Amino acid sequence: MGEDVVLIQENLFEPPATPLGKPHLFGGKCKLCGEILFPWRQSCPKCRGEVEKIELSSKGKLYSYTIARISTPMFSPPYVIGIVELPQGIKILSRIDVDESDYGKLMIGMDLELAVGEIGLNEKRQKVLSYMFKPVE
Amino acid sequence: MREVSVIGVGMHKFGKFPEKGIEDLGREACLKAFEDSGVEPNEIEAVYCGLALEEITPGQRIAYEVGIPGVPTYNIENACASGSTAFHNAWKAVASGVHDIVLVMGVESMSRTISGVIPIPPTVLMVKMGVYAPSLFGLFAHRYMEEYGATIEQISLVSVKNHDNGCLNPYAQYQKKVTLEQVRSSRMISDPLTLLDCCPTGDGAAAAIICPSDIAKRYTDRAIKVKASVMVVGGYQSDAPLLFSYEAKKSAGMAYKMAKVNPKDLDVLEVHDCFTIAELMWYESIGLCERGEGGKLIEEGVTWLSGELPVNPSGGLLAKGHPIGATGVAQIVELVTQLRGEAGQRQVDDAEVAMALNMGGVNPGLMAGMAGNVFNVANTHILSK
Repeated sequence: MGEDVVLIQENLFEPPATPLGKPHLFGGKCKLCGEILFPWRQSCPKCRGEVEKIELSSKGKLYSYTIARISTPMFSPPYVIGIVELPQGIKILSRIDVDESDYGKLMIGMDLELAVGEIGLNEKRQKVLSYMFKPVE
Repeated sequence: MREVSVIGVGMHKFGKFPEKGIEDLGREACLKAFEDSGVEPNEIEAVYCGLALEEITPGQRIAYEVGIPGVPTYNIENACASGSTAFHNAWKAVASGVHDIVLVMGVESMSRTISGVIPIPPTVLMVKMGVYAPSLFGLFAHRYMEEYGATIEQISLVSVKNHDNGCLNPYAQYQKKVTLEQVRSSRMISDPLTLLDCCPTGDGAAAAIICPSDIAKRYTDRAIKVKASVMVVGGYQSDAPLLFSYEAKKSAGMAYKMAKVNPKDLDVLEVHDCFTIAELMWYESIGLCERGEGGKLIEEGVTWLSGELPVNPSGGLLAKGHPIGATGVAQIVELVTQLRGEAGQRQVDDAEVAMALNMGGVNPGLMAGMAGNVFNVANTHILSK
């Protein structure tokens, strides 16, 4: 009971295959116009071209952040949400993995790296595993 | 296209009325609009109703209550921009000559439909990650401070200003002043935004009756002209800026052109202040000031009731309240009241040209996880004497 862990969404990321392995984050690139998209989707919203799945960078910079403090049935506050700027030139929403005691160290522009972790529950009360970013040690 | 005028308005006070259904809220607003205009319910040729949450056929249910015989009735959901989308469609029907006398209303009973934050479908990545509207605006606020050197005090002044105004509006959900210290020390919701940086949820209704300007005199000598009605919806945009809305810029720009005015001609505005930071972002998007100057505009007092260009004299969403579907129509009601010179203690002196900006609909790209501008619907209305 309660041992179910599900990925937040398909085609988004891959957890490390081994304990020492690295996670992978995916997006899309339009075969026609070259637009970089997140997440991967079937057709390009810019030109309707076919989109191939590509691996995105596992390094990024914190573009902005907020600390959510609202209680909901799915998530236990506080938790940090960020916008992460990737070298591919896109900005994505992500959880930021920071201990509450380190909230004071959050700074726009700080270097981040990809990680994976549980973020809360879904509507079926299953644990949800998501990509996230954490400050580079 | 024919010029259109508003000949009557009415509101049900915004607030928490869990004992009332949408029929009760809508009935009061519509009956007041009938009384205000002198129009009889059997003269209404069509009904447009804005409502966003978990109800069906609200327009018919309210029309039934107030004795409107069966007429074409359009129920319009467009998230926080539902009310202005309803008004825009009603305007189109009259301007194009399809109908002469049309009732527009916006209504919402959030006490009965939700608890806590405004719901966005749980199937989108944003929500699966635990990102709700206050967190989006928390992200914008931090970035705004970083990029423009604005202070959180400048941002929170919006709440102080709009609560000051709300005190003078008998229809406002909150009629109580707040100090800057109170805004900053209220409960943190999503850093750096506190409870008083966020608009409340609530219940309420607003209604307006419109007709071609050339027959308005049959009913009233207090008609107010609709000089521009513009709806803009954004699509996919590469690298959309976070702190600036091209949709709002385009919507306001088209409205200025249509009404043959520029921002300097405006005397009073109602803009979509769902969060304090939002009001500053829209100042910049619609051309009241340069990018990054919003904080200065409010700090210098320009947009206060006593300033050169008062914004949200009604109290705005922050103090008047934000029963979602009613908001866009309530903005029109406030501006009609201002232009008629009937706004009592919150009257803006010599108000002749007024503008409403109602925003809504979280950008689909953002819902899916890619950061960009927040709303993709920007509806602008310009009214004049």
